[in-house]
Amino acid sequence: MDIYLIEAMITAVIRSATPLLLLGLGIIISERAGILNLGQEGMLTCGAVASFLTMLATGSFPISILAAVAAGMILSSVFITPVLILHTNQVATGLALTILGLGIAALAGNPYAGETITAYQVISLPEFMSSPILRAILEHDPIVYLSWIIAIGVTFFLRSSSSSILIACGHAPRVATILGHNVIKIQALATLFGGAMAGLAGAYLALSFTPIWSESIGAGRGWIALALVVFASRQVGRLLLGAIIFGSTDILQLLLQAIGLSMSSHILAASPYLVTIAALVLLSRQNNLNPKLREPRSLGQPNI
Amino acid sequence: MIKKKYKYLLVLILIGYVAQSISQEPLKVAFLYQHPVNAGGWSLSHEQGRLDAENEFGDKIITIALEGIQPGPDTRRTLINLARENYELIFATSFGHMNSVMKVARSFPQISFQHASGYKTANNVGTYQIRAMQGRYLAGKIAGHMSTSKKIGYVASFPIPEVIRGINAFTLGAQAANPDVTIQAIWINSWMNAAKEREATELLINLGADVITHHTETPALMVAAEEAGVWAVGYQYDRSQFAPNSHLVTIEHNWGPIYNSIIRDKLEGNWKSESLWFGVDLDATRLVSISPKVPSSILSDIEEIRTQMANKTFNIFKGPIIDIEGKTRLGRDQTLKDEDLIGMEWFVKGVINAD
Repeated sequence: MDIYLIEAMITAVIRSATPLLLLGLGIIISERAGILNLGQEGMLTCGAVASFLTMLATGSFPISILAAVAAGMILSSVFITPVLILHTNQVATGLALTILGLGIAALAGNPYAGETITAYQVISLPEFMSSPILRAILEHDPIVYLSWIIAIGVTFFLRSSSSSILIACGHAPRVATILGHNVIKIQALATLFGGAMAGLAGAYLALSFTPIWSESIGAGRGWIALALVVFASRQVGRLLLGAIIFGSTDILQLLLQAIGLSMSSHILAASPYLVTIAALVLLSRQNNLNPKLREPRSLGQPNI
Repeated sequence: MIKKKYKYLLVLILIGYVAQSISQEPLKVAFLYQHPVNAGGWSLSHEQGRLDAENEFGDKIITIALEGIQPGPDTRRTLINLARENYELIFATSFGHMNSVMKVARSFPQISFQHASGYKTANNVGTYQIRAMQGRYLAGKIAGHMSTSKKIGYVASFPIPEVIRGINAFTLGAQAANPDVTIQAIWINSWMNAAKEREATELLINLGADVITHHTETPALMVAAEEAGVWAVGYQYDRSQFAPNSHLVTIEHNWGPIYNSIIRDKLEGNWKSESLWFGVDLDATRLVSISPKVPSSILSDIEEIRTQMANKTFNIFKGPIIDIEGKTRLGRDQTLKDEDLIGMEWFVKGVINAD
């Protein structure tokens, strides 16, 4: 295998891990606050269509990204309003949000299915760092860098003392209320953050990954991210690991096919899911012993 | 008083209805698409065929197009509704519609159903298909000529006979231009997954392919080929807009002549259940937007083969043909029958990664 193939593989892995990472970060924050939002796929697709249409209209990447983030936040507020005020079932509301989001995106994107935009260009590294591997790891477009910054930010936030209020909302919202915290406000903010992240992931898909509009643009990533977060026990590090394992198995199975490995393509196609689940199940064996890794006790429960 | 008014109204409606049925009533024709037309690909090519038929027959027919009809209960419900609304000719364009069509057709024997790309028929269910492999062969010949690395990448969906036929025909065409050419296939196990199509394309390019083609729906492949600066061969509908510099040729589906011929049969009362399989003879598969960089000698060569295909003197699958396991599938001058083509599950030599 020559060095350029490895370079291309690393780039491809990072490219397919980025949307999962972004989605997962949003899910971690909202689930830590006790909100289970299954509408990720809908918010993702809406973010993608919002950024694609804005890009067609304005030609500006920053504005398109903002549009995607706004679309994700608007959809998540559609979710959070009935959930927090009317105490509706979170699973059902989340599923409805997925259907709503996919429908809105299909409707809005339909007339523009044949259009193309120029993809977000990668930021070139300075001359002295021109080793192919280094370039593959470090040379990406701004949304990838943004996802790294957010991942570091979320990690530090979860280690800070202020995150304990968020986690309290997820474990024991009544206690948090008695302590004088506005649980509804905190949960709403956490869910809005989740929506923003899903929108950003959508912007990455539409602006960088595949600069065309297709209804299939989400391709189930919202669901994969939800599963990754569960297996990663809501830890950023494990989420990153899961996203990378999933991305690399996904690329590797295409490579194995292309070099002519005689193996059923169906088994290869299933491999990313199998490998990722196996890895994260092994990691999460200790979960019930370690209180830090336990599922938020009030996850998905109405806070009455 | 009021009752009388209603009576008059009723009589009026009755007269109108009778008058309408005495005058030549247009034939009601329905089209079912699995995907939205604007998403491009297969459904779009059928929609263009429907518009062709509307132009051809004018007010002799009324057509309706229903998009996004997913296989399963949706299809069944839609078909029953159409039958109750007296649609006399119904085209179901997706392979997945097959079983619903067969079920509903049993309850409505007076209605003619046509199912694209399927293999089940009944007294009132016919099938129709395009011999896209003929276009594949011709495009393969161009691709084989234009490839300098002698590696061609093929992003494929599912290993079903329709896709396998296309790969084999393309390979034989490419080998006719250059015997050393190999075809590297990647199965993405989906008809429509823009990201996978793109990743597979980039991988094939990195493995040395300098011509890329596909049997999938989205234009992601064309965009990726344009970025990398390698040739791209489109499928289904003219894809040159997605790769202005890299587009080599598109193998276009042209359903118009097929729809015209079926609808004409129905209008004249000659419709019967058949398995129709049209190719270059009806211009149902054709090469469009050929890049100006293709030498004219190749073009005249292609045109000659096309003419021979149209008057059935040229057969793509003509022996000797060896499969990827080295087994001789066809001896000298042997050819494949349509039945063998419909169930084709083996790959010709020169295909890499054949499931």
